[in-house]
Amino acid sequence: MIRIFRWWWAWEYEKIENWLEQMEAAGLKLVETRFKGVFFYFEKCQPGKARYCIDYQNKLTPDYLTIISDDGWKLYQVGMGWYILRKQYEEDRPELYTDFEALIARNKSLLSICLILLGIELASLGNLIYSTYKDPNGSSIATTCILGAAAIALFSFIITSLTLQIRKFTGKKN
Amino acid sequence: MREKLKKSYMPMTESAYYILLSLMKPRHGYGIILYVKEITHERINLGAGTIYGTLTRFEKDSLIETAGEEDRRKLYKLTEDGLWLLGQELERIDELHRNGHIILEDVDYDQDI
Repeated sequence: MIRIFRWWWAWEYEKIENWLEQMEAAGLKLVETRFKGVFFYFEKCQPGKARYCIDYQNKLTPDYLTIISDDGWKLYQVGMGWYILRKQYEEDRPELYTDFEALIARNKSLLSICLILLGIELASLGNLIYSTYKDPNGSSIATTCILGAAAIALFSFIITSLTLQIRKFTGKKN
Repeated sequence: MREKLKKSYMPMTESAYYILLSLMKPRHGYGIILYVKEITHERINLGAGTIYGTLTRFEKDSLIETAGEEDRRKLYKLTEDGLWLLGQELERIDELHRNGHIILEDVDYDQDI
């Protein structure tokens, strides 16, 4: 098995999908991913055409599993609600989403989770700053602020990217 | 309630329209993909992600409901609200169709412009 480390962000999923497809065309088929999908394990195979799609599902339901397997997709677990799906094809490149409505709905649910996390982060940071302010002998206020600011910046970045993506799909739809 | 449905669903995408139309009879997700492929002569090949997402949304808005199981696959069918919405959409499409034919009556489609 061949192991490749590749860091990626949620909004770069198309890049990863295309990369996996190129790997398979070059004779390397995905076996599994580890550590939240940053380590990709491949095995040698006959070079062929296979479409890879990355999906996000809040909850993996039996209905979802049935319909994707009926439609010929194989599921790889990535973690934290992320999945990679693979389907071999001959002529027409298959798509998991053929209508932007469902894709927009999926991204909106992802966005609401990020907003809730940002809310929690802001509240806990406020609480931390307040308690450090009241008790200066405790933990260093500088470290608290830097770490908190970094987390908030990351969340804001993810939220902005998701919003842009929703707008892109909405534009394509119309 | 029904006016709210109209606002959020109309005009429908082709996928939404055909998914609702398929559910005049109880069908499961993959059954819908096959049926729509057949009646559109392979023009529309619905993605599994689209079907799953749309069915979930339709069920939440009570346009469809479960109608038993077949080979451990959940079957869905239209509700009264779903049927009503489909009728509204069909009226809209009828209008498009009618006006198109009235205005383009004398146009020769094969002619190069």
